Amino acid sequence: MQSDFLKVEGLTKKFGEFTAVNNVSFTVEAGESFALLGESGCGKTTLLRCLAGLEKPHSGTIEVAGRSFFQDKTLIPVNERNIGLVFQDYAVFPHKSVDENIIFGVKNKNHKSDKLQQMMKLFKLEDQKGKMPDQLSGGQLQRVAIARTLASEPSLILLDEPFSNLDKQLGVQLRNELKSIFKSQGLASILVTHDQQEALAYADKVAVMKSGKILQIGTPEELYLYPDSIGVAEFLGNCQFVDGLSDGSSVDTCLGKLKLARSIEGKVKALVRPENIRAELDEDGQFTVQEMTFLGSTRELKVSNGKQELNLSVPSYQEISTGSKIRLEVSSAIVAF
Amino acid sequence: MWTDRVGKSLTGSLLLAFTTAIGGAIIGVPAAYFLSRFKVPFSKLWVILFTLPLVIPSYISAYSYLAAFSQYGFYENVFGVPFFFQVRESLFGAWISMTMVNFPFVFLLTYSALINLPGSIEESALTLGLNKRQVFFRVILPNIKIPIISGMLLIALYSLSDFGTPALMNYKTLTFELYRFWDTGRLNQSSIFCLLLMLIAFLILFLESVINRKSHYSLKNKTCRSAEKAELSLTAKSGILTYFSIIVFIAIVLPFATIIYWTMQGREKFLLPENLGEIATNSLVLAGLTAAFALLFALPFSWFAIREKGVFSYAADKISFLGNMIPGAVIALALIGFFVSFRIGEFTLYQTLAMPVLGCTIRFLPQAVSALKTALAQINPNLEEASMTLGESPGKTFGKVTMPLLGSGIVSAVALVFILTIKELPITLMLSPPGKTYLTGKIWDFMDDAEYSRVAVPALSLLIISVISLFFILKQNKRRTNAK
Repeated sequence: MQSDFLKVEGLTKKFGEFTAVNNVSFTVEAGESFALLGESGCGKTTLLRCLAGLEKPHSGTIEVAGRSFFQDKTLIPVNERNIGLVFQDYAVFPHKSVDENIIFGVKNKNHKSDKLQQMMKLFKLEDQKGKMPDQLSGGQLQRVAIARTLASEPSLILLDEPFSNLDKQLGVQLRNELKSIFKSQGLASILVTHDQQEALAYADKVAVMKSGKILQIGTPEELYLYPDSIGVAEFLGNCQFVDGLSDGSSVDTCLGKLKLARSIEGKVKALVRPENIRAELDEDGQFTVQEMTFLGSTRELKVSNGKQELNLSVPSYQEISTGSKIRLEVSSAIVAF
Repeated sequence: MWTDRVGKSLTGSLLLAFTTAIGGAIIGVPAAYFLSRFKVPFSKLWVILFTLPLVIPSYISAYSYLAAFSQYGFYENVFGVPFFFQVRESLFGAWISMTMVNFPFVFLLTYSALINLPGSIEESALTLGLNKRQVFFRVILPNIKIPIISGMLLIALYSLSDFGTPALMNYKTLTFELYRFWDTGRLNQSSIFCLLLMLIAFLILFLESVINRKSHYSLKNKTCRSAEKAELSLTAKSGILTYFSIIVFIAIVLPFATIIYWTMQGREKFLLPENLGEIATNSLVLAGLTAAFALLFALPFSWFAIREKGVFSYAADKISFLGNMIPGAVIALALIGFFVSFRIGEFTLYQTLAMPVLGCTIRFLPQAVSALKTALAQINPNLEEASMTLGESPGKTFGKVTMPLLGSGIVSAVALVFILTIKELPITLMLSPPGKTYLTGKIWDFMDDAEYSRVAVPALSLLIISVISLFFILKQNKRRTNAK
């Protein structure tokens, strides 16, 4: 069993009357990639800044590797925490060259040139050696910023929307690189983001935040497939609900009898995501295709049986067009609320 | 004897420019740092108070320090002993007067640089293990170095070209000697001082361009936040407030108090210059005309500098800056030298209202241009292009799109030139048409004759007009920041 590397308990941060972070508790294991997911203003950045030591929480505790960072009277200042923080706006020092930026936080003088070479190679910055920040693109600047953070050998890395100023493609590429770099070094990290795909792709564990509170913590699969609440379900992807009557293990709906992954009884709303519904052309099918949008890898369909309208997405090679009669089927277990 | 006088005034000017630049930094940089990085009570009020000295003419501040600290002044009356330093005919006197009216240049440039420095830069230095003191010296200071030095050079330029303070303090500088020689009709000697002033000004301008070339592009982008302001301990808070109060007392309260004191002194006799209304009107007309002319020239200059690239716009940008470095007394002398003999038939501009208007326009065009450039840079060029694709000519586009959006910039530019003209001493003094007197000229005459109680009312009128104009500028600037 792995030990908890970061332990946050009952953390609360207020700005005047406004409670930005409300009694939040969670743990991150050593070497784990963790993501805080939520809409802007949900308190995720404030939480991150509390961990870094840039904000002083009102109550709660923060503990990293057995050392208390915040508890009652203890408040370790930001510069003594050895926690790396990567900003959305890169925060590369404009008055220092790429090289000087990268070794800025390296304490041991003898390690500076080794560290620089290692980081330059790791982040593919060799061609930028000696350049000033204003000669670099956004993607390169963020590489420098992350290399600078990593070079200072932090015990934990915090990433505050680091990819949101980059092109989508560039962001995905850097994200994948970072994930494997942190994994190979056994470094724990927390990514703050509002992008569901980014959180799901990056993290071993994701916490969904809303209005200062954590709604649910789990693996990406758990959160997406078996969300605890309608709020979490809606935030993580396209979702739609069909009414039905449940006997505890399955629910009767217009899509037939659906298996439940989690027991619930009575009148319920069953979560059926568009990609979870299979469609077959069938002259006797109850549903008719109302609209079809071809998206390349998939076709998005809007179908109806006169009472219930549903969206679904099917493989693009399946020949279905507007007006087709179809039969629908959901085979995997689902959750209902 | 002659070379001695040149040498003495040259040293005097250089010493004054150098020490004033340092003095401005010593006051302006800490003030800007405290206000931008700590929760100081009444911070908005302090920012306004630290801008206010800009409207106080240097001859009025000099006069108030003479009244306060010279022999038989306030200080001696209150404490019974003379002030520690001699004020009249000393570097100290000229220095304190010039520093107190000019430190806002360093303050404003540094303050805006500090506000615009992304907070994340300081925060990442902290997370990389630096303490607050190290962050200041290794991260903040290197990034505000250039605005500080630019402000200091600007102060040096102004101290060099100032005439009021040296004249009142009887401290010998190049401008002082230039005026004395001109006043006694010795134009040839006078122009030697002109030449020296120009040479030093060019040197300063050269330094400025070298330094600015070294500056890096700002890395600011949309998502940047300014640094958060830290809480202060009670001791630190009271220390800072005391420091700020002392500056405000010396720079603002003392000059105003002196004038009000002298107004009260002369109250029984109510020493109004008999034609104060006429004199004030003269000043208002001159300042109004100059502001209008400066705007007329500044619009195309600033438009070319911001929107067009190439030799012409580069030249426009540089030429418009020249007035900044030429002391008023030098411009006045040059205009006299030219227009005294330049006439077309019977027609001559010499000794007409056109002379001071032209002089002040040349002198203050750079300020108008830079105010407009700031405003223009904030207008998205796509708006102008959109107008042209919708079928409007470039001229109509300028009138229908650019000008209305430029509104606040125009008000700032006009108000700025207005303030500067209304308090400009050497140009109005040397170029006023015969029989016409301006507020500045009247104040100067009374001061020169040591009729201090008579100075009060015109000086107070001048300050009130300036403060009102400054109010307009601040209001426009605020609206512009809010609009962003």
